[in-house]
Amino acid sequence: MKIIYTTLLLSTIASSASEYVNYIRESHFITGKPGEIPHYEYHTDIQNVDGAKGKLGVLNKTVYDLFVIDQNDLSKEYPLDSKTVYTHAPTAELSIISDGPATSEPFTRADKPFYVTYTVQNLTPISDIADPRFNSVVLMSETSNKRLTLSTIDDDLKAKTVRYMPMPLMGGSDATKVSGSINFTINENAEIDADEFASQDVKILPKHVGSLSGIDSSERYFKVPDATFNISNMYPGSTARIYVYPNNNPSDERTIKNILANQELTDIKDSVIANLDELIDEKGVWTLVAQLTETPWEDEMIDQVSFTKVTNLKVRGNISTQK
Amino acid sequence: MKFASLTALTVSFAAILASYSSLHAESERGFSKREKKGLLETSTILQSRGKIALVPQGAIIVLPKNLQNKIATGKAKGQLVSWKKFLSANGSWIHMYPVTFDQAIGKKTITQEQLKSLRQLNKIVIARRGSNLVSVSPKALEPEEKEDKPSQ
Repeated sequence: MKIIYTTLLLSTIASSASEYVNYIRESHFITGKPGEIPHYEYHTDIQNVDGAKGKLGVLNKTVYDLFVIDQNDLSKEYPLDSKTVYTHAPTAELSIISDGPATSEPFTRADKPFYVTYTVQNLTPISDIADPRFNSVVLMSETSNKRLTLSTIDDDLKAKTVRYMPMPLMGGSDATKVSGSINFTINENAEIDADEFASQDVKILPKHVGSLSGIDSSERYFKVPDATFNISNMYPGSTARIYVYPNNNPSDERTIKNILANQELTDIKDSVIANLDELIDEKGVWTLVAQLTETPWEDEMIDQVSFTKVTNLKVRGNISTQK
Repeated sequence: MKFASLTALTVSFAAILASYSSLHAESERGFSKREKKGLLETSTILQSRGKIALVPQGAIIVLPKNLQNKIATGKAKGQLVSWKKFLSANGSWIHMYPVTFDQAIGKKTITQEQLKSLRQLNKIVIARRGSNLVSVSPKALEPEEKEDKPSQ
């Protein structure tokens, strides 16, 4: 048995209320083999302390779980904290960097890459340990409907970064319809009852879908009608820029309006683009553009429509009178 | 600024592209993470006079027939109290028996003599290690293996 000194920092948020009873459950996994029923030890009558230093005898793995239970309703059981101590097991760290804004949970778009950085240490040569499962670990991705083993790691490695695209991990071929969360984990290399050493989620947002309507490219307009702009799933923090330019001078972009998304996916419905004639001051072919800007990536076209502006209407006809 | 997190990336694109090939190695496989049980799932519930307490499954090493009604079956009703409080109110029918870690995990046995004397108490006997309640492996309660004597 390996003796490990450890300090358990167990939060006691709910347990301070007198209507709750505290328990720390100590689960000893002796063999570490799949299906093993652990040996349980309950610490009862725990005082509200921030930490407790203990000398732990760990044969293979010991898990400490802090629970509080409602005095009057046993179904109200709350696991507050957990700590696992191993004798022989790898240590692993995993982080995800996406192009999205730095937040506690990284996110990106279904058609854009993200980067998983992971470190695995303390892999033990197979000859040195009784349980060979700790000789390697696996990097896995898991979504609500797909689980993949991405890599088997046999040797210690530090801060390896891998670029992933969301859609192969999530399934689906249309980026405008793919969304959800991908959970990356580093696990014990076992098919059942595997222990998890590190975990991180990345949220995947669907690609936007947008359109301009109300202007017919086959028409010639003396007065350009109002157009309508719609977009679903605007990327958080992005801007839809609506502008028009004369086709004989594409750099002469004349901004009509900027529509800002909030910090979550945003839908814009039936935004009216009116008074186009105030900007269109000469006859010819013009193009109305909706463009997505202020994203972590290059500006993207949402939709565009070209039309012809005329300044004089030529009416061909005859007037005749008849007596 | 939206690019803030991206700028933290210091890995060369060559390394990224090289490691990208690992995607081709992806595969589906049989896999299940170890499931963590809730506290009630691993507990036996004791009840008496409207009060209840939890002990680990396997911690009760002697259960006299006349005290089987102290074990809650189905949905337990009553007020959950701390073990200390429950024990002090029900000490007349509970006996705490200290075991070693090796006994608890079944590496060593509790002698049949000890078990016999515990049964004679006519109390529910609950294992403890120090001040903690502990489950005891059924192996620890089995009769000791006797060495075969060579036949003459």
